Amino acid sequence: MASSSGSGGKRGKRPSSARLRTLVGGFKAEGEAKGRSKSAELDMEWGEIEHQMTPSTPLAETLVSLIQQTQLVIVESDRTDRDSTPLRVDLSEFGSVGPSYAQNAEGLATRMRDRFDAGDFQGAHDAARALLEREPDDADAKRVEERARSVLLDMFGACLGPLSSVPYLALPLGDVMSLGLDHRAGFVLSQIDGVSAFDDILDVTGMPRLDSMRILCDLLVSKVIALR
Amino acid sequence: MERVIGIDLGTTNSCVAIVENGTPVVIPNRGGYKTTPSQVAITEAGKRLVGHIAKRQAVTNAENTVYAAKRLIGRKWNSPAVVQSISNCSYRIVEGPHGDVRIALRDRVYSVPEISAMVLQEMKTIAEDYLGEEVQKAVVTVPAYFNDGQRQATKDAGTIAGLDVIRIINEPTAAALAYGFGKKVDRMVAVYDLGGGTFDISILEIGSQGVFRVVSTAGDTFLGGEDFDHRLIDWLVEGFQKEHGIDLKQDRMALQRLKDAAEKAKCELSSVRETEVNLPFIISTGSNEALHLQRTIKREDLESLTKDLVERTLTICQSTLEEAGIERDEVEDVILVGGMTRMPLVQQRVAELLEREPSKGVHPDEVVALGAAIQGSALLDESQELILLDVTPHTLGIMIVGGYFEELIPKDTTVPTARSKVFTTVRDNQTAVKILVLQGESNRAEENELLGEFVLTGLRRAPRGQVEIEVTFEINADGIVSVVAKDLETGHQQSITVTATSGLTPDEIKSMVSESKDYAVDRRSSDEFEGIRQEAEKLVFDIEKLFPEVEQIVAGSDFGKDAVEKAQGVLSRAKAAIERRDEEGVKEQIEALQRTHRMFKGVVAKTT
Repeated sequence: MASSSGSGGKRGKRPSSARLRTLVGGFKAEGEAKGRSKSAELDMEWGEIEHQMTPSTPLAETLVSLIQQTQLVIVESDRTDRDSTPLRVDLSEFGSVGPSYAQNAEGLATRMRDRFDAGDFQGAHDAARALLEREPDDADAKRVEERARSVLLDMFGACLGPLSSVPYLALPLGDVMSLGLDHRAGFVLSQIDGVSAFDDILDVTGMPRLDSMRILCDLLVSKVIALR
Repeated sequence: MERVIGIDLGTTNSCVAIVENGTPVVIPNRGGYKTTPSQVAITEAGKRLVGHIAKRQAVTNAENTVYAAKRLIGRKWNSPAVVQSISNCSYRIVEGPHGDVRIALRDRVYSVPEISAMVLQEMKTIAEDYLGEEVQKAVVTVPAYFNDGQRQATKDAGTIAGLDVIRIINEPTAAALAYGFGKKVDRMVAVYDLGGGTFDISILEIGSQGVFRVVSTAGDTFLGGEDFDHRLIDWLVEGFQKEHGIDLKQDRMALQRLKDAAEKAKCELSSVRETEVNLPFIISTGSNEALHLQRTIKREDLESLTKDLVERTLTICQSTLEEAGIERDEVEDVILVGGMTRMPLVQQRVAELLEREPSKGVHPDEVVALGAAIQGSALLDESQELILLDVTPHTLGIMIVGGYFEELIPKDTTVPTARSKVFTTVRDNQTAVKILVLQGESNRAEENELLGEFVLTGLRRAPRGQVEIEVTFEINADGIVSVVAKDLETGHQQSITVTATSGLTPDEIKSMVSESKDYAVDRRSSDEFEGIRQEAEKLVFDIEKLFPEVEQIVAGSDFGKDAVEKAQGVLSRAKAAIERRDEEGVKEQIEALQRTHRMFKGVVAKTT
């Protein structure tokens, strides 16, 4: 499911993986500042990326957003602009960026509210949960998590229809193998036997109901499964 | 007409059967399967799952899914089987208030009979759904080696499930009953039972007059089909590890899929020579990619992985024959029981050991339940002559000086029976003697199970060895053990009747019966509500799908606007009733929903 990076934007000179490592390490060492590096090289390198994204977005958020939204994966080095294949970045090397942002309670709270206001209930829910892991008694987070969860359940419920419906695999196994699913979707898919209703499948996945419903919706919408 | 169902309450799977118009038949469950996994789970939402659905989430909800409860039923907390289960099981086994075993699931502790009762209740429901009437009486099977406590606990489980267990019979006896049904046979048979979790071998004599006698029985309570599955899982996991450097056992979802796939592949390899294990997206890597597991497995691979397990069963068979003093050629037929006996290697090795091809006339998964149903039918109809002669599964005796165990009734003695032995005092001027009644195979009393104790007093003061006491053990046809100690000089005697206990008090059982009844009522009403809810939800869904189109069509007309508003009202009321789980309310709304749906369809049809 690797997708291209920097899609739609002008791509400047890419740093080699070694330089990427240095930059990220430097960023981490700089602490929480709004993502602005003191390094001229860093400013130059990231400045280009920042320019392609939203100018007002802090660098850290831009990077996380870039990684999350474009799903950058796997590392490559010494690329040129003429390469037609997408830039791929090793998330394990960027691991230090994601968590450090995610651990920032203030950032999470802002993100949670923004996402909720924007009607991105999934984003709001995820941010609320992350915030609750850090601040278990945060009343706002609890409220947003509950409301977002309720809305999402309704949305997914509407997408699936009656939970007594029996889904079946709508694609031949060979085609399924070429889909870009993750192991959780793979697990849910393995529970679809053409006999069990959504209700039963939700009972056996062992995942939170919301997650299972979301995966089932994704599978239904992408026509991997259909209903009898 | 009164019905008696026969239930094979297995360690891994259970099966229910009934005799209909003189023919024993197995009753399929709602999914169409003739066996139901003996598994119980409690979900995060507190919902109880029994059977296939519990099995499907057994790995992902491992701490709250009980399997193989039969290994624990009626056992004492410190028994070796319990100790072994504690180290093997993913669910939490805790000590009960009476030295018994309990199981902790979510925020509640259950007795083992309660868990088994949930499986029995499921089997009862399967039968009731099939027959369309309530069923109360049942014959339930247990392994031949079960002691009184285990049998009583199984009976208690039946009681908790709302069943009147009119007879407990041995599994090999039930198998032989089904094997001999409708035939006049007079022969010695071996019942080789390799199930999902246990192995048993029994030698039986079937008399032409309908007499069934268990001559000898032995087994291994921790050897069965699941061990074969685990070998296959390990093989798949190792292969994947070599290829990708990832241990699939660390991921519960992957492990659940592996478990299901291994069992499926194992079953398939009984009929085909090779099969493919295909598990797409089995695990995600750190780089956001999911890997597939694809592997072809041949029958020979499975055989080489599990050969030692098959050999273990054969070793037990050999020693059982030797202990019973039976030559191989005396065994005239072999009955295979349990799903694992479909494996060609098992059939081949059993045939080689017993020097004859096993009988093909019985279905290995169904034969025990069918036998139980036959026995149930015979108990209702006195004209049918069936005499089941069981044997004592364990040696019975008393403790003597030095802490040794003195045998009175050896293992495998046919019941009813009575045996006596004379003992003497061991001290000068001894006026009382304590009789400790034990069962087990160890010559050390402490290693055997204490069934009861009593004291015989008023003995004559005399030098040691002069006062003689006769101890008599008697087991009646119902398996009740009584022990009498008699002073041979005075005729003075004391006795005890060993009452089997499951570890539950009568009050506990009463309360569990009541709780179980409530659950059954709730479930029935929940099932009924589910049917109505599904119908209503389907209508709501269909109407909502048509809504935008209808709104567009009728826009601008006052009549149309009014109709759409009314339809919205119907939808809201129906949804609210579903949300409240208001059965009557939903029923009321179904008619309105149907009218609305018809109207919407009519409007759309007219314009297309």
